[in-house]
Amino acid sequence: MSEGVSRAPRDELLVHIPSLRAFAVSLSGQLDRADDLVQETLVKAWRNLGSFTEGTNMRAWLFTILRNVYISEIRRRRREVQDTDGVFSENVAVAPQQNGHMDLEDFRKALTALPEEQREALILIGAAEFSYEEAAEISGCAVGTVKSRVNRARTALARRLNLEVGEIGIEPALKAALGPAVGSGTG
Amino acid sequence: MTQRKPENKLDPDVQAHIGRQLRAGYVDILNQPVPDRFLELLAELDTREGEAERTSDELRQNGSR
Repeated sequence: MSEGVSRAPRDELLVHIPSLRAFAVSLSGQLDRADDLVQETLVKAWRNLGSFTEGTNMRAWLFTILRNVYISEIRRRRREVQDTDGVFSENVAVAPQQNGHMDLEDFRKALTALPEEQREALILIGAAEFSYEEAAEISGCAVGTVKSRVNRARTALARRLNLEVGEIGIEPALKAALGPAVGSGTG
Repeated sequence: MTQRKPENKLDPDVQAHIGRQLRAGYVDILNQPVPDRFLELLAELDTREGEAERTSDELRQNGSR
């Protein structure tokens, strides 16, 4: 690795590709579509490197580009879909199994079924670990809006995954099952 | 549609569970190696840039980076 001079743009972008892919997959729910989003993002970023202010957060800058690429793709698809009187398959409500076994696949489906702006907010805060201020900038909205979107997203996920808490609290069995949930999937 | 409570309070365990699931899916992709298509893309952009710079220097005086 060379030091001293600022890193070549190529290296700079390269560093953020894993984050961009993770963001794109979380947003779109599909790996191949996600990689197309990342590709378009990289091309756009490359063309606009001059507008990136050095010393600021490049990851946030790239996420903003990817997010905008994604939104325009959604809009384009929506128009196409309306023409054919179809529906977004990814927006079809998910009916989760009532068996208490919540693996990542169920979670992924529930996440994909969220309204776009809620999913985006939740991913930026809960997965990409941006601050609320950064997330607000990326999404082009107010900080309070991000907070309320994240809250609504969490509530909606809990409902879809049958984790909603009644007045008496969640069942002890469910509560116990939640503990070691991550990594307990049977592949 | 459904009755809406003014304050949606999630059980902390449920919230933590959602957080872990969310992060798990994300980190899974984060830890994957960068696919070749992106390495090739960046190399291609780099090459094109070099060519474009030479061309644009001749075509216009643009000092912006």
